[in-house]
Amino acid sequence: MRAAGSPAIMIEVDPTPQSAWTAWQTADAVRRGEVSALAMTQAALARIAAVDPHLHAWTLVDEPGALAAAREIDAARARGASLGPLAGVPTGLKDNFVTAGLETNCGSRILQGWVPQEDGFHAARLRAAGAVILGKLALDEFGMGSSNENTPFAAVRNPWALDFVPGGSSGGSAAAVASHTICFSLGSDSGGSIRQPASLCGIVGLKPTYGRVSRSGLIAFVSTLDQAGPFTRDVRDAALVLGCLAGHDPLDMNTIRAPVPDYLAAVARGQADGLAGLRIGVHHEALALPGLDPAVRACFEAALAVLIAAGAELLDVSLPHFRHAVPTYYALASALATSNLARFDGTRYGLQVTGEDFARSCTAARSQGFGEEVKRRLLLGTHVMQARSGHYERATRVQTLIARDYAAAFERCDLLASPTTRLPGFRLGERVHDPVAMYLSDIFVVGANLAGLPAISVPAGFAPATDPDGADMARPRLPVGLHLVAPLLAEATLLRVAAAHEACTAWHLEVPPEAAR
Amino acid sequence: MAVITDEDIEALARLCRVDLDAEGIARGRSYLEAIVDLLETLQAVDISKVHPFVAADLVAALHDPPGPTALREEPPGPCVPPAARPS
Amino acid sequence: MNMREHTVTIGLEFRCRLATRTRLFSPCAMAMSAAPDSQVDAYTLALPGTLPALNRQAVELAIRLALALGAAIAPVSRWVRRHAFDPSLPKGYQTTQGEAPLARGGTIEVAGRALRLTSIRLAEHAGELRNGSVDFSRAGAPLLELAGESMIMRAAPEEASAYLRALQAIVRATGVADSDMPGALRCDAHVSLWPKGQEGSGARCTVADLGSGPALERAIAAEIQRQAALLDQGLVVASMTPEANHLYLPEPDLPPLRIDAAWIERARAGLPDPLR
Repeated sequence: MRAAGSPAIMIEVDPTPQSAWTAWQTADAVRRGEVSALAMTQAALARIAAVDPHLHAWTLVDEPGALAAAREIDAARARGASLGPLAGVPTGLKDNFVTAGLETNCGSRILQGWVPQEDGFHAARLRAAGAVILGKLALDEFGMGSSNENTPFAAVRNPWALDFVPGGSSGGSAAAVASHTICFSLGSDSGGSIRQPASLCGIVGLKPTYGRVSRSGLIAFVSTLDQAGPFTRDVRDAALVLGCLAGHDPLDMNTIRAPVPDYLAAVARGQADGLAGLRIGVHHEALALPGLDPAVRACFEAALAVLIAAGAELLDVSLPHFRHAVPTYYALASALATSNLARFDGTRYGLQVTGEDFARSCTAARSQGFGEEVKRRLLLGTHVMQARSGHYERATRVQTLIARDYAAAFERCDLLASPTTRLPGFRLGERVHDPVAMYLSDIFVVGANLAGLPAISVPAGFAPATDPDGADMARPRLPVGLHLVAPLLAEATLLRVAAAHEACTAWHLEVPPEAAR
Repeated sequence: MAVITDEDIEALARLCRVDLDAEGIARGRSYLEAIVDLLETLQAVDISKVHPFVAADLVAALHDPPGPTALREEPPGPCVPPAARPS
Repeated sequence: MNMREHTVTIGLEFRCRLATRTRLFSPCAMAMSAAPDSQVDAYTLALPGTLPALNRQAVELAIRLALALGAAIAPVSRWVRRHAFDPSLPKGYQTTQGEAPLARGGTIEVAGRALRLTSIRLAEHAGELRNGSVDFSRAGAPLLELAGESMIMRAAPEEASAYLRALQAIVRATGVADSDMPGALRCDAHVSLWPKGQEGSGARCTVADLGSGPALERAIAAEIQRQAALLDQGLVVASMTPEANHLYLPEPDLPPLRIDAAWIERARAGLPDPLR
């Protein structure tokens, strides 16, 4: 079923340009022999060379490794071996995923030069599925940031407007996919770090249920919230990649041992059958939020209209502890990051400083190796960890209340909807001097992490950039995301609804100026 | 408004093993004052009858079929070959 | 001897290295020979991206020893990270158990007297500093930490070492540790003296990491003499315990350890008859 009055846009396999192909289109074409993995890889490398000097999304491009991997796929096809679901699909991983032979530095000087011996879970799964890893993608140092500006390396640019941030912390992963250099990428999301950049770059970003995807090989940031997930240009690709990653992993004791549903079937169902009988909750706290950009709100309401037209029913629900999510997140995130970063003492890997003794070399390495935002969070995390502050314990209890709010809401509805961000993207440098204001911009996305819930951001329109402090600046058209949150392990519902929305809209087909180069 | 002194910042910096110069201490203090104020808004929440959230319990409750999280059985696995060890 | 004038209070803490083949949180075998660093894995070296996977056999052996001592196994025990920047702790913290230990209670009995245990915890062994470098060959080995109540010991050094020997015998009988390995069972003693008949209590001073009865006796005797000499001169004994200002965090990567009645009964059935 298709929403009455909305034009149905079915994506047909269009052989030109190949850079616009999705992962499923590419893998289909490679499996059928219509294009070689090598040709796809060469084309992607050429696009990186053309586009990335403007974007700085890539921190490392492994041309020989990628070409060798692509040739292996082609050789496997030539000898009649069965190819994986991502056969010949060019990809890249956020630089907090451990990759064999590829420097993995997490956007930090303290890990610069560290080349892991073995692939982590995610790189291994992607390679096993036939994906061709082209390299590593930029991030805020250790995942700490919402703009990709917290880095000792080049700040990533937004492909829709180069003086705007791509979002963070997985900004490189978002910009690389939005600029059509690769079909999909992996990011990680501890407090919105997949969904917020996906929204700002106009693509799909999915954070699975906590424990659905292993964290083994993902460099720990907020261990109780971290989840890996895909950036893609359509919902079907998100389902395809999630299917390759989901499942129990004995190396991560916090992975869920449960069957992995057929996510592609959920997408097909959303595309074909619409949303009759589905109840979508809108929590009124979200819309009452001061500072919600009117154009973002208009996009959100248009997206709700699409869902209603597809058969969904809208419900008003409440998340009473919504406004406590940001401080709760920052208490947990700073303490766990401080704990997880304690291993960086400058003695075993990355930056090594020789001092008179361990204490001195450790302090010297950490002082030289960590950037300003990381040091800030270490101060905060140390304060939060001190038992007498009581902050950590309190935050874990408020987290329980936030999770209960969602559970109560899901007794009345199947899914929650909100905008992904309050504002369309912001300019580089616009918020760096007010970190706490930057933190508050995570308000719509952190709740899903705190409650462990799966969530997705999908393209839902465009809004003119805001004009900071009445400065008379150009206001380019920037993407806006629709944010959907589902009950625990209900990724299939999430994908079904996202697919239904996508089937009735064309936002995901828009191409940013940087991809048109 | 949270009261945080330069000495507090220096003590925290020592505990997390980073050296800060005078400017770093001043910036750290104004940051911490602002963010601690934000964290202290949580004191308005009644948590008297609430247990801490445990992510692993959420995971364990989702095992299908239900059952405890399996522990690792003993057979020795591969080790990093000597060449992989940092010098 | 000053024993007549002073009350001697001693708190004993034991650490038993459980005889598993692999480490507490990683599937890497422990070196049996003394060859330093003969094998070590990514988790033990705290390489980024690694996570702990709890060794079931370590829990099994811990339950066995705790039961043999008459301790009550907790249905749920929890893990914490105990932070310290130290070259022997590659993660920057030791993963151990905090306020929810594996077991509580239990006793070590010696000639009519009983040392009551307060808590029994599982923890990982740290790396060992040797000649300026860190030996990781036993880092991450499972340790069972048994903390005893402080008690007045009239025949202090001998009584303390008698408890250590009694525990050694139980460890041997239960087969939970390789008692032939040097250092498989080690002991700290927190010693405090106070003039007899006077109000108050003495400062605690710790003699640490003693691996045999004679060594423990010698260390305690020396510590008693040292404190007695200070007290006799009217001086104050300064407290000397290695308890630093640690930061703790609940370990996010390990689920709470749940041990059901069936597991406890199986472990009990596996104990030699007199210890069941």
